[in-house]
Amino acid sequence: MNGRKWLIKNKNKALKEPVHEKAVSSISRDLQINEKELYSLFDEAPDLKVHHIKLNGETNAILTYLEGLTDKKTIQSNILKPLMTKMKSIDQLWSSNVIYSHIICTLSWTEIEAALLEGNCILFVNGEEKAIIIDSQGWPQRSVEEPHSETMLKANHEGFLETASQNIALIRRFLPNRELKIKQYKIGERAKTNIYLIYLRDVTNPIIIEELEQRINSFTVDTLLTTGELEQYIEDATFSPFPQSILTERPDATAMHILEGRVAIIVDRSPRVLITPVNFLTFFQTIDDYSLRWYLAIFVRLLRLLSFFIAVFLPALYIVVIAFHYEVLPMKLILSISESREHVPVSPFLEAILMESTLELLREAGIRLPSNIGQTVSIVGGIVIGQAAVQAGLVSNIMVIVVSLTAIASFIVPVFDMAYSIRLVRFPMMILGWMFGMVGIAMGFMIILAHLVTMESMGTSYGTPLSPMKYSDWKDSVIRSPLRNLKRRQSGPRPIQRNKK
Amino acid sequence: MRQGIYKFVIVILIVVLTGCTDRIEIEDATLILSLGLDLDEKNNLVVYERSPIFRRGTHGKTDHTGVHAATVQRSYSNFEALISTSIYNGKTQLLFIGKRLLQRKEIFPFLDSLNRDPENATNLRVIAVDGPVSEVINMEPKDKPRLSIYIAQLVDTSALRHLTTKVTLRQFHYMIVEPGITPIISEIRKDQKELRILGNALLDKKGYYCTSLNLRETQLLELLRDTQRTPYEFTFPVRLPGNHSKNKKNISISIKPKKLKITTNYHNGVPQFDIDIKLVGNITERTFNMNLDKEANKRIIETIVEEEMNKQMATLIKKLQRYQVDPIGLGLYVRAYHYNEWKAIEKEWPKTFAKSTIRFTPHVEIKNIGVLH
Amino acid sequence: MMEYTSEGVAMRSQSINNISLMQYIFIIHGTQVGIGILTLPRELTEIAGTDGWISILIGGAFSILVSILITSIMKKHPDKTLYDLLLIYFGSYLGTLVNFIVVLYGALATITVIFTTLFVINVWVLVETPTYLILAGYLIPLFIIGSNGIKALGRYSEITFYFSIWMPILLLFPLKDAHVLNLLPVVKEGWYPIISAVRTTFLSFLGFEMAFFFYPYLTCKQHATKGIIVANLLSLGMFLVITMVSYLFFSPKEITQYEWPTLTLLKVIEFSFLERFEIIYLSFYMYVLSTTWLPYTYVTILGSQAILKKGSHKKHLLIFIFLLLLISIFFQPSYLQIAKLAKTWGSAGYIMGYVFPVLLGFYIILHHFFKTRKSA
Repeated sequence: MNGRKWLIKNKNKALKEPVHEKAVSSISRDLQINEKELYSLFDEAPDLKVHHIKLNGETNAILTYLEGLTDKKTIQSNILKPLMTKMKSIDQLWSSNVIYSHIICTLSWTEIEAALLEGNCILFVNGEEKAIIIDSQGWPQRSVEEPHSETMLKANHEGFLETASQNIALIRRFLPNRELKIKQYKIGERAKTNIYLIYLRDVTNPIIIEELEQRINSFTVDTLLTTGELEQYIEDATFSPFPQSILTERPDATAMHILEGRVAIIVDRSPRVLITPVNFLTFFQTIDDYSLRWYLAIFVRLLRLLSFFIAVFLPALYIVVIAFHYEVLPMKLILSISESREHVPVSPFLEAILMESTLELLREAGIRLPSNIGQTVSIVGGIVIGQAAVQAGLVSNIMVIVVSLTAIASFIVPVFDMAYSIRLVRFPMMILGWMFGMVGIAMGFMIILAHLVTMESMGTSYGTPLSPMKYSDWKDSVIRSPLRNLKRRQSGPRPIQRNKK
Repeated sequence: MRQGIYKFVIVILIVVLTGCTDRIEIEDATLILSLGLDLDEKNNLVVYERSPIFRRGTHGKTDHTGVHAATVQRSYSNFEALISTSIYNGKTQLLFIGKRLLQRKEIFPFLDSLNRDPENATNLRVIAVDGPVSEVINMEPKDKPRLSIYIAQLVDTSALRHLTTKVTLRQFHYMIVEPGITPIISEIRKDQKELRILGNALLDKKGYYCTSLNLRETQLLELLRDTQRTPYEFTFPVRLPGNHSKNKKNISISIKPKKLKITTNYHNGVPQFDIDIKLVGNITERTFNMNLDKEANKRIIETIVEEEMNKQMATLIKKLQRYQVDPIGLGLYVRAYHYNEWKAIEKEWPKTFAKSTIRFTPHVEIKNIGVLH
Repeated sequence: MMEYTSEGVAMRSQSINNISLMQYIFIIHGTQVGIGILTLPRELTEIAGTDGWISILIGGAFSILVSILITSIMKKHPDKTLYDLLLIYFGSYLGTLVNFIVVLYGALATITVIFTTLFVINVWVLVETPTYLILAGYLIPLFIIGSNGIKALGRYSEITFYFSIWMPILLLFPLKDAHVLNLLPVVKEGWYPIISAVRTTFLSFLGFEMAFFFYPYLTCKQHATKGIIVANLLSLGMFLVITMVSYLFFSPKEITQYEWPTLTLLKVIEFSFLERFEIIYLSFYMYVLSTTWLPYTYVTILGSQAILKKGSHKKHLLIFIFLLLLISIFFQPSYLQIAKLAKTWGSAGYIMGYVFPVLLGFYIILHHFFKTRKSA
């Protein structure tokens, strides 16, 4: 790989502090001592419920769980009911004859603590040195709904949830295949988060899996709150403005990427799934493209690429044409632009930066407002403020058009991260255009190109199929041939099985 | 390490961000749209300019001035002394040259700065003015768009109709430098309140004014120059035997040249040119009666048109040879096919042209006669 | 069932610098299409009139022959660059000396192309901006690509080629005012001017000597000869198109008056929504020119690494960049100095690219002849 490797390995080497271990690590036979230990572990936890029951009329037992994380109905019908009614002897417990849920026997307090915190309930029996961990998870969950930021017209309307097992289930619905392998890792020093690597074993290149494992094990963190954090820990180039993996909330898109030979990483508690390795053109493809007829798909994809160029270059082009190379425009356009720019007191560069920054402010504000106010604000901001600014003589008409075109173009890009990056790349481009004119724009183009060409995502080059030119991949990149002709997988993630079967 | 380099680069860039650069503010700039060159009574060069004003509340106003200067480049400095904003000539559309200047001085050295500076627009149209240039530059026509744009459009549309030739500065440069062709530029005149296209002005090798061609002659010349194959509109008088009515008989025909063939031969040190042109046309106007259903009548009309054209062309060619100008570019043919002889006569081509024999043979075919019989 | 295609194996060795055949072709073609093309029509017309296009064809044939010779020299030691070869054949002292000369040649080529680029920008587009600023802007992509090896250069050249296909197509635009008669008669003044004009085409075709340095990194070496012939043919086609268009458009007396006739040709290109298109075209062409000086920078860095044998690739690159910046701050060449620089590079390239491979070829043949004699 390239020299960026040393950057990844040396960062995030937080000092590994040992987690505080309790002195007492095994359960005692005495129920009272166990109960006391429980209360001391969870001393400020009012949601800890300790239920005293009598098994068989003679043995004391306590059933303890964290309310809220457990499903009350399961506890009552699967655990308490058979325990109280059907149990004849204690041995039935160990041979799981009585309790309806899945049970594990345990001896150590660390396991008990972890199990309690995950929403299981524990049964302590007086006189036994084993405790039983009973599966009863049932924390509050959302129902399946379509993700807001990735609505598709013709595809499935499901989105990922916040529980890893349900997300895995959603993916398995799309790929009910023996070769769909799932690897589990636990990350986090203070609070362990489960992450799952999902891939097709006979399609994905094992080198990618190795590389991913290496990267996951190379950092330490107290806990992983979102998938976005994981993305930043395992990415190749931290200094690049472009994202190197896709975060998606759709199971069908995830299945599509897994079929191409990519790896999907599910992070528990996050509805976004990380897809890696990706290349530049993947950010301009959606699953809806495959539901459209092929020439419509070509049109839509070309439109997206065009919008990339517009979003990055248009404000800079405006500045260059107004401030440096007026000769490029036809005479009538120059006359009308000059007449509209007469009252503007600021230079085109400042005008552009002002308007663009205002637009960014409006956008950020619009995210946090509830939807009904958000609509009004965007209309007020966009139309009224823009119009008022033109009439007050602060900006020119053409600038408002340029800024709105740029904004519209940056919304067309389907992946959120890429759209954000494009919004950022605009500003250095404007600066380059302001300093060097058209030569500056060519220079900026050169720099972006050089950057894309040298960037790698998990060992696969980012600029494919453009920069290591792979002609066979062109059938499904910017253009899309009819589905009958798309028989081979793309070579971007270097799958080991090229033919689609 | 990499971060340090990026920071260094960024600091350097920011430090010189406010330095001298090529930026202009076009609303504060004066874009010269028309440039004019003329001589005053004492034969000194006068340079005129016309540019639009972009100031609040002055919609459609223009600025026009004239200064004395030794050369065109010097005149820019003199303009700057008069005009409050900087002068930029990247968008010049028109170059007016007064006839007085063309008759008395060589034009080409004056245009050197326009050719040398890459910022100049070499697509500007070169126009000769019959009369003082100041009259044209200072015109303020009512109900018309800006004068520079108006004249530019006038020249462009007339050139499409072959009433004049649109010559850009670059083409002018070509015609002066190339020995096989003499320069030709458009010509206009200010008639009381209006501008009128007169046709073309023909210059000799050095740029001195030789003669002018009126609209009809320009059309015929364009047939020979063959620069654009858009339709030509000709009207010829018709003389038929019998039937002497009071009206003059005319026929108008819209012709498109289909094929132009020029062959050269060398006879006794004098080149001989055979120009054969095949034309296809539609009759657009006929002011007399004739039954054109018959093939024979059609052939009569075609013959009449051919003869008329031949006669008019012969007059034109005689005129060209009398003034020793070759705007057709026949020298190029001599160079292509008789290179050795060309080397000898290269420097004196217009003289040799005057001595050469040129035969013009048109073939007209009428394709349709409109909706009336 | 797992199919381990060659992709899997190739990916493992991807960490080494490898370029594919197409990238090899485009590196060489990109190096060849550089500054020579800007002045080529004028130089040819000065010597051979409008028959210069025949000189280009002959020059192309020469460059193809020399390219094949270079490839066959490199085929003997498939994984060694020229620097290693010279050390093998000439011993360590003489070899290091010749390596040093080659490094100087690479530096000369880089400086010539870069300063000509800056000069043209200074005359045509940005008149006031100091050239070292523009150079600073160009050095950023140089740093990005230079520190990522030959692989990055191959990809960059490839993608630049595809992005610049529209450029020769747009050059056909002035043909609507073409004077076909300019080309007749063919072979006006005889063959002697045509043959003597071939010397001026040598500068334009320079770039095939990159085979000396990039051959070892090529993956499928059996196609190397085919590749370099294709690269030369592509450049030949480009030069022919530009020269023909210039001949058809300008009068032969006119071409000699313009310093860069190709650029003056661009002034004619005009669309209804964009006039003065040459500014955009020229700015973009300056970007395409970067494929000319980037490989020469590689040559210089590879050489300095081979000679000094210490210091990482990146460090050499940084020092080179710093030197370039320093030179451009203190040295702002005039138009005569630029012309002299180009001439110097032309002569150096003549020796380095045409004479040197022939001599080296002879030396190697003799070397092998004597070696086999000795062992027999």
